[in-house]
Amino acid sequence: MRFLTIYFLLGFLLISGCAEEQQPTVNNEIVERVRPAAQGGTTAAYFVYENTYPGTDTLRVLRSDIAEVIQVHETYKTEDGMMGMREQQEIVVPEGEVVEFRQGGLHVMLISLKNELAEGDSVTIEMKWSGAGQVQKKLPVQP
Amino acid sequence: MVACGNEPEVIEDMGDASFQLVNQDSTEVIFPDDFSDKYIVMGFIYTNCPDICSLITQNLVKIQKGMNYPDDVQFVAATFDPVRDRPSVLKKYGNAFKVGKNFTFLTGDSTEVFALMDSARVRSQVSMRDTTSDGRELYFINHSDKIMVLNKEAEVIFEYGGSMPMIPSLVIEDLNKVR
Repeated sequence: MRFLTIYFLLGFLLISGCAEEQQPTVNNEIVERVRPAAQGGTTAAYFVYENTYPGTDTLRVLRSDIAEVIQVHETYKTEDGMMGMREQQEIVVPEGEVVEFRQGGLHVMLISLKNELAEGDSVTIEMKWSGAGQVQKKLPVQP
Repeated sequence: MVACGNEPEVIEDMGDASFQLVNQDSTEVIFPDDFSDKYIVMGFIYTNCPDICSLITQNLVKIQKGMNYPDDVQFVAATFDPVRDRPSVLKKYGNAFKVGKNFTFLTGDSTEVFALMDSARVRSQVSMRDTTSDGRELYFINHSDKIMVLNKEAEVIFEYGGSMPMIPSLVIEDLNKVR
């Protein structure tokens, strides 16, 4: 199973703000989680998605009840040595490959949070893929 | 980088500088004067940057924890987004990272903040702009990735790429050589 860098996204994530015990999953060395953040702030979601659909798949929609804006960003180094983020407009994953939303790389941005996200909460990210359809990813909130 | 003996080379002397800022509790802070009896471990962030800036903040927290919360070292995270990062925002941001005592966030008037950034040779530039459905403007910032250490004379003696995972152990090692 190889890693692939990708393209596109819009917004569809859901949050369940209830405080429930959850252990973060370490998937391919990525600690799957959403960072704690204050109401009105911005946070990031990190996780791995494997395309098990028989064919190349494209992420069409992300949605969230917790954030006003959801985007996929890529962290990058500018030509003059600064660090920045840029939105990725397209996420395409070939059959059998994975997309990694990881710290310092591609990540899901939850912008203008409607509520505080505290450690112990959980966030369910709902993705709509062109082939696989609707997929949910439940993530714990932790630093 | 340590020169002869245990005396590191001075990268920048901030001893003559004085910046009138505020911390996360809206208390006035004169930087670096108010920390003149301490080493300072300082990072530069903005709170709407959950990726790289979180790594920088996390590294500051790890350094402080790894040194067992030393009384003679002040930890500072200064924002280069003073318009959005008001004290109350920084307070909540710090709570999310569970920062300990001797950990101060700095913001303030834009003129003072960017004078500090110039002195610390930290660059920032608004990059991506977006607008929410209700018309509010969003923006993101390209910025330097830096943690630096100042000695008790407010001289910058070490600089590092702030977000890199090996930074906490390097900072602790370097500080322990000179303290």
